[in-house]
Amino acid sequence: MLTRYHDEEFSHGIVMDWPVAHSVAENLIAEYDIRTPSADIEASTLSGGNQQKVIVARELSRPLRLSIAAQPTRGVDVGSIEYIHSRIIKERDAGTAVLIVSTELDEVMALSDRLLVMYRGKIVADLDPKVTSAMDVGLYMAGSRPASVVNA
Amino acid sequence: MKIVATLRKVADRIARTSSFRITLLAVLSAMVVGAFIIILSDINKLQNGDILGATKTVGSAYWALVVGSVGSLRAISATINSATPLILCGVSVAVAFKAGLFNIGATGQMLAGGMSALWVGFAMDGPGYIQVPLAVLAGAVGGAAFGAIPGILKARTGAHEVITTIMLNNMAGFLVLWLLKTNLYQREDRTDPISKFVTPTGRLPRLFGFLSDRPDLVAHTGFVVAILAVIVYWWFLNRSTTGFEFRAFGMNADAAQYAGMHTKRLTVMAMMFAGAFAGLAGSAEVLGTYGYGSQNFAGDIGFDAIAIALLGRSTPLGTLLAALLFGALQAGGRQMQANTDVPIDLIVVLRALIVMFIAAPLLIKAMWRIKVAPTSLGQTFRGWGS
Repeated sequence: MLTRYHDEEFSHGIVMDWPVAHSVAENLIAEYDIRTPSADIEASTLSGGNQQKVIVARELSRPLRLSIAAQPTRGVDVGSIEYIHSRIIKERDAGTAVLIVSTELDEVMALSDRLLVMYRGKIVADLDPKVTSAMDVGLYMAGSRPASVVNA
Repeated sequence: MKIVATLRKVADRIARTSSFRITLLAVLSAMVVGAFIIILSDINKLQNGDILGATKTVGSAYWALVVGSVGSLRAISATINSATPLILCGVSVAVAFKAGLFNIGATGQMLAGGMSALWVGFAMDGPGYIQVPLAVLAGAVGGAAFGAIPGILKARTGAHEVITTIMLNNMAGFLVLWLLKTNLYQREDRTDPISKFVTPTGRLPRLFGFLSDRPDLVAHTGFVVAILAVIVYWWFLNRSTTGFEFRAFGMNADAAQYAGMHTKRLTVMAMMFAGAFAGLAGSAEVLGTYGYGSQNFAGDIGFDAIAIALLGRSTPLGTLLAALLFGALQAGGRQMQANTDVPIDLIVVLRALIVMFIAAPLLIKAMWRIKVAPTSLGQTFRGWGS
């Protein structure tokens, strides 16, 4: 079911180690709370949110140096969103460069250390999410600027 | 009605796996339709209104099929003999299917492999335990080399393998014809395209050779090669990393590409593997069944193999069973033709019907009123131009 484990610890020479691959899959299913009847069914038969979790689990379970996540939690249930967020933060803490692209303001506000807002193909603001309000971000997104900046 | 109900009950019980059940029902359905065809073809009795007599013909025809395929040691030997190249070519088509490729070229690869094996078979004279494996291996190499051509064409230029393999079948056919006329291959005292005899030590030993009083048992150890090939295919597909790549590539080429697999190399490799198996079929025919090469030793086996791989859903065991079934039909068909007036061509019709029913699982479900949750039978292959 979880493909892409073609090399690494999953094979010895040209021999696949299915028991290991299977147990890793089972662990990831438990870890990410993927709702599936078994580890052996095709990912395409799962619901959209669970497919999303399969992808996130697959990508975050290998050694990363740079991770670009576009809408990593789209369609995923609330509990799992939190888990995915914590995993992304953990990735950052481990020294991985993480770039999050999302339409969810709450998501980018909660996760980022640095927030870049784009409008018409250009970066219009470089913000610190800890001191910026969602309102301000929204104004930048619309191509405007918050009153506080305009007046200053 | 009662019979239908009973049959349905039996069918329900036979297997939990729905794909296996559908395959079995497809065979059964084909037999039923075949029965009607036999009745219709028995014009004489129909004209006299002798429906019962026509029904008896059906019974005796099918009985002859059974007797002629498994009814005696001789029949079993004939079944094995027919099934041997079918198994190998079936695996050839199946391995390509698994990688998402159509191998229509098993015939050509079989010819190429057979000619390579043939050369080792008559040019060498000596100890059998070296010459036979060498000749068989030469068949695999010859087939693989010929299979590599459409693989490379596909990987390099995108030429669709269906087109190229069909064309290469023709080329192989005429290449064989030409080779058989050259001094290298042609039998000294002949003017027609027929090759020298494989030396006695180069022949694949007969399977029932230990029964010295039964020289009529024609089955040869090519069958052992075929069984080994199925085992190798199973191991390769399910246990090796390359087999995993084949399957990933066959199921979703984009995902395979994303995972960093060398899809072009996989294409060439898949066709080479397919060619090697078909080449083994060629060597089995040349070194086992015939002992010489003629213009058309490959026959229609390469095309029957497509139906076999389809019927067996390209799995190792399925392909083996499907090839044995087709081999049994072939062997039994001869008996049927001899015992009854039903021509052996009915076998061709039966096989076509089986494949047709396999291709239409919904028809089977409707016919037998099976209510099963729609399960994915797995994608056997991708369509044109993909």
